[in-house]
Amino acid sequence: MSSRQLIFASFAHEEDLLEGIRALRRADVKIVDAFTPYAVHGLDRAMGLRPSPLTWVCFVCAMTGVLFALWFEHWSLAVSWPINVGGKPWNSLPSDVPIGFEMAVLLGGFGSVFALLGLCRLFPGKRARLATPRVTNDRFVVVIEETDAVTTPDFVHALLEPHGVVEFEERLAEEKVPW
Amino acid sequence: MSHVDQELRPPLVLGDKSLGDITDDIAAPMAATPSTLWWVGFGIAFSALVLGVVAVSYQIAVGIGTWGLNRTVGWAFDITNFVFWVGIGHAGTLISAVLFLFRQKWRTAVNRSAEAMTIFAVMCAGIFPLIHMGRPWLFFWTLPYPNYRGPLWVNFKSPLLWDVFAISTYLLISAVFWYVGLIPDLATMRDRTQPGLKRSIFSFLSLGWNGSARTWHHYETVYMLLAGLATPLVFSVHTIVSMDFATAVIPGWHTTIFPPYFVAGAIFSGLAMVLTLMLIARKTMRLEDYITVSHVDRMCKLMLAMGCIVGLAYCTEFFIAAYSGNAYEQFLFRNRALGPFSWAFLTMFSCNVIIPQVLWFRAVRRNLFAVFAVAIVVNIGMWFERFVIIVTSLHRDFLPSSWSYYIPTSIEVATLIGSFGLFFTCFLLFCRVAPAIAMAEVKGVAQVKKPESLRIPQPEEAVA
Amino acid sequence: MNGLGFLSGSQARLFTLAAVVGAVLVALTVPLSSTHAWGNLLIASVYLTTLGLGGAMFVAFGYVTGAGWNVAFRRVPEAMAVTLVVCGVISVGVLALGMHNYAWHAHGEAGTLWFKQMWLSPQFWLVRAVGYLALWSVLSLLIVSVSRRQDRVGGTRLTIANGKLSALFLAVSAVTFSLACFDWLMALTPMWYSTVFAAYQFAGMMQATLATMILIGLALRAPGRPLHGVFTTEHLHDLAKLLLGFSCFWMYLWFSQFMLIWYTDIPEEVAFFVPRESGAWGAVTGMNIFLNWLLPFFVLLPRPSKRSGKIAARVAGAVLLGRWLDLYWIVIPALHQAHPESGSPLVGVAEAGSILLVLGLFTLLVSRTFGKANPVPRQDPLLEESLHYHL
Repeated sequence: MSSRQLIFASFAHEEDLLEGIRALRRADVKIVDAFTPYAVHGLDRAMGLRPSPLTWVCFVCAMTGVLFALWFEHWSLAVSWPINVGGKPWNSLPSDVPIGFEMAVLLGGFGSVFALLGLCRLFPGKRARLATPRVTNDRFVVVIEETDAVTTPDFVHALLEPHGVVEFEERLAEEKVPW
Repeated sequence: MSHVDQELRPPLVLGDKSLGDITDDIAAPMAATPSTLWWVGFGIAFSALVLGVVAVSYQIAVGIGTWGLNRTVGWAFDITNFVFWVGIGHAGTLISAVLFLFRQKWRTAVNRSAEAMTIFAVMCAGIFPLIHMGRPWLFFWTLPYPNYRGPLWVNFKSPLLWDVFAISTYLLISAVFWYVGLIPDLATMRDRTQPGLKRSIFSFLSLGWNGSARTWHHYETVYMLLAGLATPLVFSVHTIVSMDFATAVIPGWHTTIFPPYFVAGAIFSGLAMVLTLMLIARKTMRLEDYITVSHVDRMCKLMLAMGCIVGLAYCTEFFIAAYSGNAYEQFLFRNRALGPFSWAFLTMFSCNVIIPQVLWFRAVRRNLFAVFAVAIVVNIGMWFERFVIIVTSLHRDFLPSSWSYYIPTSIEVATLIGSFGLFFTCFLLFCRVAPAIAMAEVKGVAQVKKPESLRIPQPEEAVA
Repeated sequence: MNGLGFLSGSQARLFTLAAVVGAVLVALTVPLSSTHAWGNLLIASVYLTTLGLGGAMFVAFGYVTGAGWNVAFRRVPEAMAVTLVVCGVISVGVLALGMHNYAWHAHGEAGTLWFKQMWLSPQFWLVRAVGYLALWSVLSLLIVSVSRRQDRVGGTRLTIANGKLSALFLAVSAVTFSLACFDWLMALTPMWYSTVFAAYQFAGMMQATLATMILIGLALRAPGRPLHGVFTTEHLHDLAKLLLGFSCFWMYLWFSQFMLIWYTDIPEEVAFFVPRESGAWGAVTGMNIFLNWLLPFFVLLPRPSKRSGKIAARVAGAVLLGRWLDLYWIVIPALHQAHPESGSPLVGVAEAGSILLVLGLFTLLVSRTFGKANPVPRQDPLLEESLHYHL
């Protein structure tokens, strides 16, 4: 099994991480991922991540919810077993709306959360692979892959040094580890 | 940051904390053994819960006849409690979702506990329709499942069924929202706990979270989506609760302002409950640097705004009753204010509209004892609001020979006390097992400054 | 900047022409049906007044919530707020001119109850209208003048002072706006009542206000225009998001009102919806919902369309038309019900006149008032925050 040479550079402050990442991207160094203790504002832009597709998952689920609920309410009370309630017409769209809305929210919410867990491969009992034990507390880490002869540790270190890197190490990772 | 900004933008976290300090401060109360105060609180809450369990058991064994309902007042204490508790939950969603959409960063100090409060309050609320069924073990009859009675479907045209859907959706989405918010913090707890059972539990629940930027990116999107869904959801839930009443042709119940008015009232009462709990929590859990006086000040302003909206709705109802020329509406509102239940009406009006006006003064908003007192008053007032709406609209109906009065029985009072017991028991346990403040979110807004000494890169100081 | 504000001479002439043509078209239909013509004037004056009030409320909400994001383009809603003075006078004129068109005035149809008779007596009704408009004008002028004074003085003191003034303004206008909606619009159908009516009108007002701000902001952000580099895509995004939110809020209140009345089916309440349900009016009802909710909701939902000037401008235009239609849907059927003798009007002429009048007059006024102050509140302590924020 082939392996990858990865560089882990840690920072103590979010500005340092952002500046470091910008410096790396300017130098065309391939960034595997970054790890932060909280959602750093602007990190997605700095890393050039594309907008998340989860909004569409949510929209499709919510539309499914509302359409299914409206159809089911109509079918059950007007077709399957018609019941006259307070003289309301068979086709009582206004009174079908509240449950239609609730089902849209329910499916939209659960759909997007499950899509998140699937997309990011999060599941109960998964062993966390931490870039450094302090990454969930107060460390910011960027992981770089040594793809070619230019991206040597020295080169990367020189790039990051002005940005307050506090920890710098090389590690060998298995090919399939999706860092 | 300049002097000018300090005045308009007070820091959200006091005491010049580093990121590590924030983790330590918030996680500290969970590791320490509970204080005497906690045990006293837990003892009282748990006793109340036991009392409630006894009362409900008796009621289920004997029947709804143990309540003070009569032929005229067919809905009273039970539904009052239901609406009250659903309302309490709404502030949690407001703080976690609506304020998130409006980028009100101060919400991070209180959103975690407010969301927990939402879940517990909705649980308390859910009990009441369930026990009012008389045969609560048949609750599944409210679900539209294929059955051998026809299949006879549930009545989708009934607002009570809308309630079933609304409350269960609300409970589920609130729980998911809360849990999604907790994942990064659970990971933090996992990584600072010694190996053992506790760590295994945190590890299991944190789903292998490692703080990857790609994960954060999708996570932020989902958080925003959930906020976007929860905002209309919170409107819909109390709208549907209000429709339990407003779709009836009963004067005092049927009025078109009910949906937004109930939503505002719900948020009002919920904010009062959030303030009550926060003021206690910041003191007992030493979170004064996170839940600051300026946080309390902002919540007071929000509560005042909601109180004014509720007051405007009360006045609108009276005005339209006078304007409409409808004799039944006019009788109802005269009876509500001056009839046998005027004591309840006066309690409601003074607690919800008159007393909260003191919050216009900055000195009051920044006096924590005064704020606590006002919050308690609003809690009481909002309970009475539901009581007034429900009971005064029913007790003198169209047929004067059936006019009556309503007095709750000891079983009903004990059930209410029991619901408070359940709420506080859950809340006190929550403070012990999960971070009461969203660490990852507070860190994002704390504006932790880079110490001057670290401005020059010092790689040799790196922690090897 | 010239006395015309942000409009060039030829643009100003064009909008003047629109206003004049609009007025002439409405006037032309007077011989056919003065009631119908006046109804269109009422729509125009309520439309103009609520745009001004909406602008003032937007400014006030910003101060009260301590918002920073809206500071950079705050002069736009401030300019809208100042138009309230002129539009208020126009409204009083229109209301006084056509008071006899209200059924309670024409047929004494205010019921036999003393309160209703007192409340809907012509003199008291008109005095109240003057009172509301005077209160709104004075308080919004005060807020705007404090904001403009800050351009010279700077500091945070005036921001805090305006926060207090704004809270007062919002409290006062919440009550008076409710009553104004009941007086001017709900009383067109004097035996009908709905407690949520004012809240529903509030949602419509804010929707139109946001749409107007989007259009003005976009027009002024082109190179060489006053808000170039000031009104950013982030501002557009936030305004579009709010527009989406208020569209949903409007739909929520419209639906709540409709559903509760439909569900209980009480004769005096459904009397409002029955004439608006069938035939051509049914189509207007559908169009109203389409323009005010369905279109803005589905178009503005994806993030890119909220950030696209082209799409946001089109949606804003549709919403502004929707707001006009919403008022039309309230006013005209009520007037026709009250005055069945008023004859069949030439549908379209007075309507086109009313729309042109609003468009021309409002643009001229808002441009003039915008030109009276610095285009950017340059000494506002939160200006920096507003210029450099990212969503």
